[in-house]
Amino acid sequence: MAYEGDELLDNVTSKEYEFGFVTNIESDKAPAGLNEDIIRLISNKKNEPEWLLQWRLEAFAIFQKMNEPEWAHVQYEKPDLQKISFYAAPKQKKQLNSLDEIDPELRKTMEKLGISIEEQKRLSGVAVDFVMDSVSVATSFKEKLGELGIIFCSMSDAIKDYSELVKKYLGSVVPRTDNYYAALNSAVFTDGSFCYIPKGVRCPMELSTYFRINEAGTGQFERTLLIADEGSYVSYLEGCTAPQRDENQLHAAVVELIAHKDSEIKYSTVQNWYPGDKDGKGGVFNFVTKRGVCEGGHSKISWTQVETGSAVTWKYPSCILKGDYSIGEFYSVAVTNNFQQADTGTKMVHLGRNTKSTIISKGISAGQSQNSYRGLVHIGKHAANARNFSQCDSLLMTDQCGAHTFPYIETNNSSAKVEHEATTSKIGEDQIFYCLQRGLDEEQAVGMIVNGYAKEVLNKLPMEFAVEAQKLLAISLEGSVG
Amino acid sequence: MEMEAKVNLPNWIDSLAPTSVWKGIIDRSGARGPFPTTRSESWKYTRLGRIENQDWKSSEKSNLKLDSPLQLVNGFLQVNKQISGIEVMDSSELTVELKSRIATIWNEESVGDVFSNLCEEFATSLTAICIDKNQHVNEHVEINIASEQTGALVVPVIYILCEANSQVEFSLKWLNDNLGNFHLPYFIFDVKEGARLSFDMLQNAHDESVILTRTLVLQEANSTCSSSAITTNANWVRNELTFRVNGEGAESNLVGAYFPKQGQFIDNHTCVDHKVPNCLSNELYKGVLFDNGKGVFNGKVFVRKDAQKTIAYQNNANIIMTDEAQMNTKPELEIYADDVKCSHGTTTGQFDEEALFYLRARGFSMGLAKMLLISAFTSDVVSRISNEQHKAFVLHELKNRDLITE
Repeated sequence: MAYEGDELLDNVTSKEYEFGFVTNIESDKAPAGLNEDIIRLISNKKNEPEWLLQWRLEAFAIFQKMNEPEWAHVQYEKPDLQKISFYAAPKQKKQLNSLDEIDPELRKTMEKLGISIEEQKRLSGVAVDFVMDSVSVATSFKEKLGELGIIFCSMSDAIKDYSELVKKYLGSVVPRTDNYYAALNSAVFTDGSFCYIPKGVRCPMELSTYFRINEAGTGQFERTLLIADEGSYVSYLEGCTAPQRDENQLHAAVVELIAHKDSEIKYSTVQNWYPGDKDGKGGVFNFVTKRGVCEGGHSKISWTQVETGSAVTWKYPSCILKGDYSIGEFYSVAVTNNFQQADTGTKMVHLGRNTKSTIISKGISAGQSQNSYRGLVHIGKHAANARNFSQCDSLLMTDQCGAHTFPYIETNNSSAKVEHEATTSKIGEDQIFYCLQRGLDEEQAVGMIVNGYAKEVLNKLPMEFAVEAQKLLAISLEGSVG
Repeated sequence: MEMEAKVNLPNWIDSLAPTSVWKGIIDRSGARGPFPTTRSESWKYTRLGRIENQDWKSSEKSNLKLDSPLQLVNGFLQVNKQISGIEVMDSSELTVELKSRIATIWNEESVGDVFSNLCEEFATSLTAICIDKNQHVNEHVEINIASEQTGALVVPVIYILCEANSQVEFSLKWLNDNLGNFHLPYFIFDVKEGARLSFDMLQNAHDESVILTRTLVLQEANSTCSSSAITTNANWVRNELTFRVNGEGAESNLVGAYFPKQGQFIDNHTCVDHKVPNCLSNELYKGVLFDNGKGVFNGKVFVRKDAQKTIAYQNNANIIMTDEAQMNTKPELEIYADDVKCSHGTTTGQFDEEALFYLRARGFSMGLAKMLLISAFTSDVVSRISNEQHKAFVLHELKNRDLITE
């Protein structure tokens, strides 16, 4: 190519992780290792009821019979679970009424992340449940939500205060037997978010949680449970950035969504865990199980994700379309650079009649990364008039990277309409040329083209996230044209 | 052809004497690798109970004579009529060079699973068909496949060498009098520089037949290879078709159609492996699933790191006629080069109500209207079959399907 693509590529690939920093807060940490005692310790530390301890121990028994899955198109050194500490809680544990009471160190961290809580409060009305390591330290807007009867709190609080709800729904969408990491999470999860939207309530603001791995050598095992009762609506935002780290960190979260009759859940994620340095050293392992069930008729679950981080990603936000006329959506942009590997996609399981699903997946691979889409569309025997449309596009930035598509389509009903299409291409020289001619430099041109390419998905993000997502895309990619 | 002096010949080439029965096969192969289960990725939707649970016998020579120039009866290839330009050799007539070439390919390409083990131990026959340099074979090389026995394991290995710039068209036809046997043929097409090959498979076998074909196509520079795989009748079918594109400028065309009905199972596994730049592949498979028929399509397009400027298309479309029918499809792309044009698409659906209404409004019976739409749906596959007889047969077969009761 005529222009200095290589040089630009070097600039980008040599760019260090901008959000990498460590906050020094004293933390209460369990010894490394995984056994029943550790699980008892976690449960004890969190003052959990007996049923949950039993539930965890059963999960651990299930986990011990399972093997780590190997079918994903990723290669990594399996984490040694005996070297991970499964519990770390910031020591400061005072009850907080307002954000001003937060430890100044924490406040600084948030500012570095580009999230000014006051600003968010003022501008967008976002309630932030800030998870620092495994225990929530700040919950805002609680009162306002409380007026509407919306429960939005950390999982630990929910277990204490809404034990019945948790007991009813925990593990109902992602059973403990589901997979290796879901079983592990069920046994050792420390915290997460819990959200319940009562009947007929439209949540007036975007609910948001920022997760952050902070303690060196701790894995994060978040558990999120979101229930939308009949006729309700909620939009939930989840975003991650992680400090720079040498050793691999394991992140095995479980997210469960339950949408009752006529309700709608919109779940958006911007994921930017530490991806490892440009030689592929370090980085977070992101093995997440996310699943939602459209329990009642006319319900809707929509997943939107922007994946830019993690050394290895293994994530399939799924929808089980059980209710008649229910709708599942999946919009994804996955960017991989350097030695990152992503195997991500979705599962749409059509069980009810007249169910609909849409899958839009945009993969962008740069450096020497591997980016795979893996998706399942299953049309059950009784899912009359089911409709699915899938589109997976891949953009390749260098000749060292890979883009792969593994769609599984299982159709058991004659009235189903299932479509899948996929394309793979690179940024055209003519497109770049066009932009250069109009006075843009190459970096801007690539940024523009990539943003245009991902626009279909970015448009689905709530306003508050769209800006951050564009920033992340730019950081991960700008100028990396081969 | 470049030769290596010492290649380890798989011992099956010299010891072609299958005597054992299925129980023996299970025992012996079991030690070397059991049958894959649905937990294994490439057998996810394909159950092997039909094969595992039957006591298959070994295959024996027969005197049956079919009317095609070449025939494959009970797994033994026989020439009924000489076709000018092709040379057919059985295992005793093979030259050292050919043996060595076959052994090299086998050693490199053998899947190494229970079925290739079966082949290594119990191959019924090994035949080589050679087409000389620059030779254009004008006549269609027709091979009819039949059996005179019941419940036998038939494992013929056929190596076809298309030398540089040769041109030939093969057609392989499973006849309906092929009784309930387990056919496990291996076809190896060695397509040299500039050669043009087409082969059409038509599987219209016995209701009880079990067929597992393994076809490997090795393509050198500027060669063209077109394949078609049509399955209209058999109990259980799996066609594994692999194209290895080893030379630049090669073109590969793959088409297929499958029409499973009443408890039938038809699986097509294809793989196009682009190893070098500037090649083109185009794949189109279509299926219509009747009654409680089951279909599987797994297409893989593999573009290696150096295979720049590859153009690869893949398409799979299906019509499901009843709620009992089932279709599982998995079109895969694995791409390691950036300057490529690759796409794949798949659809599963049913008749366009409006089109049906249009025809009904013009006096077509329901059955006829559906037949017409199915014919139109499959026409782009059928039109790409090079064998006219096969083409006509597919249309005839579709006409005779009982569509009114659907």
